Amino acid sequence: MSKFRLFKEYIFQATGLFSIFILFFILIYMLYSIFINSYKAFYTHKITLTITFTEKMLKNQNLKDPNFASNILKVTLNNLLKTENIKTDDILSLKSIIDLSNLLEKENTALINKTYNLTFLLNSAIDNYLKNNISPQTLTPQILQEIKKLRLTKIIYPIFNIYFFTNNDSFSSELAGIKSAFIGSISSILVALIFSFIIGVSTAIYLEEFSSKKLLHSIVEININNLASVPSIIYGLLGITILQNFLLLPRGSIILSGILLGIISLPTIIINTRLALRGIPNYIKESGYGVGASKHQIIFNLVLPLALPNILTGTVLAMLRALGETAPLLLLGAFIFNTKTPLSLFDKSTSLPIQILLWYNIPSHGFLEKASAAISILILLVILISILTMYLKNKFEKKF
Amino acid sequence: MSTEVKKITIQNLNVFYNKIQALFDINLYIIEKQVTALIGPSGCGKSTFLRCLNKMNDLIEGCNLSGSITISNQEIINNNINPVLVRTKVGMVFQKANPFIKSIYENIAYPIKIHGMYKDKKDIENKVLESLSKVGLLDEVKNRLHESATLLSGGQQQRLCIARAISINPEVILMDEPCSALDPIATAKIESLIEELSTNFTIIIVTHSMQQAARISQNTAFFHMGNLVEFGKTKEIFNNPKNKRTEDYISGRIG
Repeated sequence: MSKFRLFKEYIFQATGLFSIFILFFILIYMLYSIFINSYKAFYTHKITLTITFTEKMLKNQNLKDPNFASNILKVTLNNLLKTENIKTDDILSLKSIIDLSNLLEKENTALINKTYNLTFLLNSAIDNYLKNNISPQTLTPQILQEIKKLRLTKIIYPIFNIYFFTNNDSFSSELAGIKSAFIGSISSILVALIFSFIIGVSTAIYLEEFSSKKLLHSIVEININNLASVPSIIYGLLGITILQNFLLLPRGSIILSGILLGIISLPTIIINTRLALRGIPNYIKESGYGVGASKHQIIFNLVLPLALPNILTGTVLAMLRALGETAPLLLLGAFIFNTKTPLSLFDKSTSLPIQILLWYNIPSHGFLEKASAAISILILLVILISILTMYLKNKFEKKF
Repeated sequence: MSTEVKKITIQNLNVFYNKIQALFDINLYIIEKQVTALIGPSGCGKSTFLRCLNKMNDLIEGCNLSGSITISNQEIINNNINPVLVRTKVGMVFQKANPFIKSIYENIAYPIKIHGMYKDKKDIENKVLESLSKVGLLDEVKNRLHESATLLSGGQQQRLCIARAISINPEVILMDEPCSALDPIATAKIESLIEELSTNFTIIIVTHSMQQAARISQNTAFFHMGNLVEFGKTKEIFNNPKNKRTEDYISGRIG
């Protein structure tokens, strides 16, 4: 008998350990694969070109013309790679031509008889070749050999890819960045937070502390619990009918996505807040009644400060879910190729998960890397917010 | 002894929790500036009775009261009096010490602030210190007024709760077994405190300790099964009970 009992206990512990192991394995593997796929997006390659501007070169030329800049680069590249038939955009990013063109326009004749060591961004084909050794089909093996040599002599060198953070979306993967998606995500989450925290917490306080437990109360309660499990794409339809067609909020704008994400988070916040309020023992309220505090004073001065850490945790959990929400935003026109940084709440903007989708749909190595990198940024954001919340919760939580 | 004034008069008080009757036809009066002890076995309705006096039973769903309770000639059951006003006049100390989860200072300053007794910070501070010294806690905590009240010992917490109750100058203080969770030394301190306070406040105390009732109260009411069995001077109840059930309870045969 006793042996059987011990055996049962052993089995129970082993099952638990096994489950934790499985969970841990999945987590580690996920983080590993995200890292492996994404780290290449965080660096890129640049090339140092030595250009000497002679008077003959600049004479009678339209310095504002990008073709002129492109030509200079073409000649320099052909010299460097010991060929004659290479085009500028075979090697360099379009941005390089614009950079040089801007320099020519700005410095103008001051450039004459000067030698510059200028650095230029390589295009994604060469960048990919250096990262993954996938040969671009436009270039001959000899040229690729030369590029390899330049890489070894550090004329082509890897550098931290700042453009991934400072640029908006782009057709060229070496220039595509998450700036607009990041700003869109953060600002729509903030809108959602303000919207859902105020409405959700007031609803929960009313339901928990003021409403009498009557028929209406139970109807509201059942509905809120149901709403929490409604598929989020249905909220997208709600957003189209109410927010977009009735309230006429601009399609794809931050405020539209934000309010919709707020609505999606509402049931979770209400349920979590009610649980937090219910967790406050009755004697805390009684102590208030004992000194003649009114109900309002008891709730706001005694109960809420104690429940707040848990309310905040619940709210942040709901916000983190909203951060990864994609489906309803697809319906609301956030699935856009956005090259503009959103400046106001009414500007069109995409969000991080949708940016990931957009990039993932492009069959190019550069963009796949970008998609993985955006995923890692999203996960990093979630982890950071969670840690911050844990810290704040521990700091403000009071023992009772 | 000075002249006895009836502070609280209870007439035909019946209390129902939903369909179950908890108190049957209670008639009682509480004398001003004396200690009245309520004794009786568990579940006899003492606490229910106590909670009627500051309308705490209103908070329990399904609780119904009938009859009349007048405090200083003011009826508190039937007319639509604001329970907050009643509770301001009738303070309460609970069985388990329940200081606010705030600093020691804030524990006493909070009731003063919410009732708007004083506006000036200096006045509030004086009142806090005065209340603390009245319960003999000032010397023990004066160096840590702004620490959390939950760090105090059980006895200190209970005295803090008493200080909190008297800080808003109530007329009546209800105490629901204030010493049941305390050791004998802390109990002795609170008992002597109750005696001191009875010169200024009308005190009603629920207790399970017969000796405590005998030591500190001038009047005693014995409850049994929701009925008031006997009410009178403590000396008479303990030395010469008129009712058989009272005698049995005091001598330990029932309860």
